[in-house]
Amino acid sequence: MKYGYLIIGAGIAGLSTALGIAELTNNPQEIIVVDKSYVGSGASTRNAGHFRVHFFSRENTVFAMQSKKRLLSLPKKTGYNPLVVQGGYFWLFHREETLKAYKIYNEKLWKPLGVPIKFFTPEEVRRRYPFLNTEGLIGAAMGPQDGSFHHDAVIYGYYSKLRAMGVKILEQSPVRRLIVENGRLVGAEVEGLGRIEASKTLVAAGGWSVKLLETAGVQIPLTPVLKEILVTEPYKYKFRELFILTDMAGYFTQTLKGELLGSIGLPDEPKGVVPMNNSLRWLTRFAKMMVSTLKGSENIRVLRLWSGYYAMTPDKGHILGRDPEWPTGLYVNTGYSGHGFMMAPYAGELLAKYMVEGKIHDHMKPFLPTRFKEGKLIKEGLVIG
Amino acid sequence: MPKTLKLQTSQEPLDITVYRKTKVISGFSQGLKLKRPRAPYCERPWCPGNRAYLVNKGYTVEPSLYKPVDGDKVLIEEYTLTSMLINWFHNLIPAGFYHRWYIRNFWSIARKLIPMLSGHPEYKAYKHKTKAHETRPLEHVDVDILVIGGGIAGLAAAMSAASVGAKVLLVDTFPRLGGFMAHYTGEVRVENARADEFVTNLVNEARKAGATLYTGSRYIGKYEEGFAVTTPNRLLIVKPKSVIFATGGVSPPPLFENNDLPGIVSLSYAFRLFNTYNAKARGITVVGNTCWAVRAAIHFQKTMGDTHLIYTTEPKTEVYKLLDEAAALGVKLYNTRIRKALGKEHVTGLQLEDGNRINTKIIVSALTPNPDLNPPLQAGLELDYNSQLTRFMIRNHYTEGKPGFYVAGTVAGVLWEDQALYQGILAGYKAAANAGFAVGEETLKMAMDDFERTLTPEMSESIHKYELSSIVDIVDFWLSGRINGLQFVDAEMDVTLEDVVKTYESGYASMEKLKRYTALGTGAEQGRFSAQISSIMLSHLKKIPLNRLGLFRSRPPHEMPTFGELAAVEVD
Repeated sequence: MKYGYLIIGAGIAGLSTALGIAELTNNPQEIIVVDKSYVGSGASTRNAGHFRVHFFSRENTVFAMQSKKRLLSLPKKTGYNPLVVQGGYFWLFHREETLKAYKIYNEKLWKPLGVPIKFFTPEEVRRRYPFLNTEGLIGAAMGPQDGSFHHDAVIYGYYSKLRAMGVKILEQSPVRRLIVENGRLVGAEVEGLGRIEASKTLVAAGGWSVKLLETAGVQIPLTPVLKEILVTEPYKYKFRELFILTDMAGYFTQTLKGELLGSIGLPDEPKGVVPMNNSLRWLTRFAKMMVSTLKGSENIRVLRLWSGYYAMTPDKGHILGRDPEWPTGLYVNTGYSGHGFMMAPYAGELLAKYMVEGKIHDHMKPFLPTRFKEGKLIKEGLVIG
Repeated sequence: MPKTLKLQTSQEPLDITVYRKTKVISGFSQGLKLKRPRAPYCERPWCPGNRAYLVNKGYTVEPSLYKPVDGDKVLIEEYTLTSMLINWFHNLIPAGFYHRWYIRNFWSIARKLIPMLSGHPEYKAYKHKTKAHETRPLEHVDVDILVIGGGIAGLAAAMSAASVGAKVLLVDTFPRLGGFMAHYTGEVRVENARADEFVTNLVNEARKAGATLYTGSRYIGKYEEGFAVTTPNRLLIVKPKSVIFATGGVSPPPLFENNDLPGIVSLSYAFRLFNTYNAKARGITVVGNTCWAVRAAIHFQKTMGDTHLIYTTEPKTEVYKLLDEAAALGVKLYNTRIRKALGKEHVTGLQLEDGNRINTKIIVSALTPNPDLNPPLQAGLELDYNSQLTRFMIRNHYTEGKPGFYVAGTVAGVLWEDQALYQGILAGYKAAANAGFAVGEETLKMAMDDFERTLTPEMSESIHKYELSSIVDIVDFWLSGRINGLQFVDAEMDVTLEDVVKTYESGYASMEKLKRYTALGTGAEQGRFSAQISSIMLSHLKKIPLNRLGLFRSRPPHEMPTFGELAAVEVD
C-alpha cells in the first residue's frame, strides 16, 4: 500500500494535521491515519477538557491565542459542537511570590497581547464564591478568556469530518516500527496491515512517540509523565470556572453535567510509558485538597478515577516539524506537555502547511525540534496539574 | 402518611418511602437529560437513582438525598417547558444529541439550558454543619486470601480457604452477610432449609473455620499500593497472596418502554423490601425467563398474593415443573411480550403486546443477573461470555487462569445457590493452594466433582468454553421485541436502546466510542447495566461477535467512597 501521507496516532495532534493536509492538498484519499487503539485513545480522551491562553512565554501565549480561534470556529469545519464554555480560569494564591509573578506576567506579557487577567482580594473571593474555603488565601486572579470544551466532541468532530472526506482512519493497528531505507523514511510496518508506504510520515503518538522514533534512529527529548484525574457524582451546576490551587499544583471544576472534575500534581509522578494505573496516595491527597478547599465536600462521592500522560519536553513546549538531520520524510507533532487541546488545532494547520508546501510559519519556528541542540529553549513554567 | 423505610448500609442511610395507602415506590430524584422521576432500582451504592448526597444552596452538602421535602407530597415536578424541549430534541436527534451540529445554532440557549437541565431540582435547604473530618487510621492488613463479596459463593470460599489454615479476610458492603439470599425465606436447593437460615449457618461455619468477616466494608479497587477497602472507621490496604472475587450481580432492568419508572425494582431489592422490612404490596408483577423468576413469583404469591408472572421465551424443562406449581398456587401467568410500563410518576400498570393490561404497583425484574464485573476486570481478569445464561462472566479463572486471582458465584457464570456454594468451596481451596497451603489432590478433585454435579452438561460446557468470540442469538432482557421508544439501557444518563443502535449504525462501532458519544455508562453504575446490555443487544441485533464490542475499561473506586473518608487517611 502506498500513500502520500501516513499519520501515526489518531489523537488531536494527528487528526488536526490530517485535516490540515486534506484541506491543502484537496486529495484526502492519499492520507492514512493509523492508531494502536481507538480514535483519541491516548491523552485526547483522558484530559480535563480545558483551554487557556495564559502562558509564561510569549511564544506559547501567541500560539494558544491563535489556537483558541481555531477551536471556536471548529464547528464550521467539522459540524460538531465542541461545547465551548468560556468559564475562565480562577487562580487562587497562597504565597506572595506566586501572586507577584502573575502580576508581572500580566503587565509585561498578557496585557500587551490583549488577554489581561483580573485580580481579586480574598474578601472579593469570599463574596463571589461563598462555597470556597479562603483560609490562608492572599489573593486570586481570573483569566476570563480561558474555558472548557468537550474533548469527545472535538475528537469526534475531526474524526467524522475526515471520514466523510475520504481519509482512511484505521484503528486497532499498532505500528511495529518505522522503515528507513537509504536515509529516507519510506513508511511503517503496521500490525495486521503489513507494510504501509508513504512519502511523508508524521509521528503524532503522544507519549508513545519516543519508542516509535527510536526504531528510525531518532531521539527526541520527551518524557511521558503519568497524571491521575477523577470525577465525582453529578451535583447541581454551580460554577463554570476552573479553580487552580496555584501553590498546590491542583485544580478542580464542574462539568456541564454537574460532576466535579479535578486533579493534583504530585512531586514524584511515574515517568515513562508505565501502565495507566491509579494510586491511593494520589486519591487521598486529592481528597484532602478538596476537603480543605470546597466547603461541604466531605460527603461528595467519587465516581471514577483514571490516568493519562503529559508528554513533557524540557521546556514544556511542543515539538513540531522536523530536524534536517533526520531521515527524509519524517515529521513529528507531539510533546504538548499537557497542553494538547490548547495548541493542536493551530499546530495541525501550521504543520500541514509545512508538510505540503514546505513553508515554516513564524509562529511555528520556536517549536522546531532543532531548538534543543541549538539551546534555544522556550522559557515556559506554567503547567497546571 | 408514608412509611419511611431505612435501608441502613454501613455508612449512609438510604431511605426509601413506600406509601401505605397507594403502596407505590415514588421517585425522589430526576434523570440527567430527560427530567424523569428516578427511584432506587437496586440496593447497591452504585445503583442508578440511588444518589445519596446533594449540594444545597451552593456549598452545604446534604448527606441523605432521599429525605422527602414535604411529608407525603410526591416530589417530582410536573413536566416543564424545558423538559418538553429536551424531549423534542431527543426525538429529533437521538444519540448524543448535544454533540450534533443542529444544536450549535441554539448554543447560546443550550449553554444555559444544558446545565439547567442537568442540575438536580432545588431541594429545601437543610442546615448541614460540616464537621471537621476525623483522622482514620490506615491499616496494612496481612492476610493470605482476600475475598470480595459476602454472598453464598464468597462465604463458601472463605470457609474452605480458612479450613486448610489460610488467613482469610472477607469484605462485604452490606451490614448483613449472605447477599440477597439472606433476605429470602423460601427453600434453598442445597438442603431442606430456609435460605436465610442456611446463610446464617454458612456464616457461622466460615467464622468457625477461622475466617475474618467484615461487613459494612467497601472494596474500592486495586491500586499501586494494593487492594483497598474502606471500613466504617479505617482504610485497609491488603496485599494478599490470592484474591477471590465473588461480587455477585443484580438483575438488570428489562427492556420495554418506560422501564425507568419508579416501582421497577430488581429481585434482590424486592426481597430486601418485602422480607426484611415487611413492606406489603398488592399487585406484584415478576418479569423474567429463569427459574428464579418463577421461584420469586411463588414466594410473593405465598406471602402476599395477587402476583403476576410474565415470561417470553419457551421455558426449559426445569422451569416447566415450577410453572405448574405456580399456576396451582394462583400466580397469573402470561407468555407474552411487554409493550410498556404505564404511569407517569410511578408504575401503575403494564401494557402487554397481546392487548391485555395488568394493574400493578411494583414490577420485579428477575432476569438473569448482570454480574458486577467491574472489580475483577479492573484487577486485570479476562472477560468471557456464558451462552447458557446469556450474560458476561469472568473467563474460567476459578480453575486455572491468572495465578492468584479466582472468581466464584455470579461473576463466574453460575446462577443457582448450590452452584455458587460448591464453586465457592472450590475457589477457596484453589486460592489456599496458590497461597502455599497444603490442599490434597483428593480434596480438590472432590470439590471439583461436587461443583460439576450441580451443573447441567450444557451449563458445564458453557462455563469452560471461551465464548466471547460468539454472536449472541438469544437475549433475555429484551421483553418488548422493539428497539424504538423510551427503553432505557442507562436509566441515569437517559440512553435508550434506539440511541445505542443508531449510534452504532452511524459508525461508532465499539463500546468505548459508544460510551463517549452517548454518555452511556458514565453515571454511577459505570456500565454495570448499560454497557453489558448494550454490548449483548448489539451483538444480537447486528450479528457481530461479542469480542469486537466487549465492555469499556473498568476504573476504580467501584463502591464510591466520599472525599471525607479518603481525606482522613495518610498514605505515603
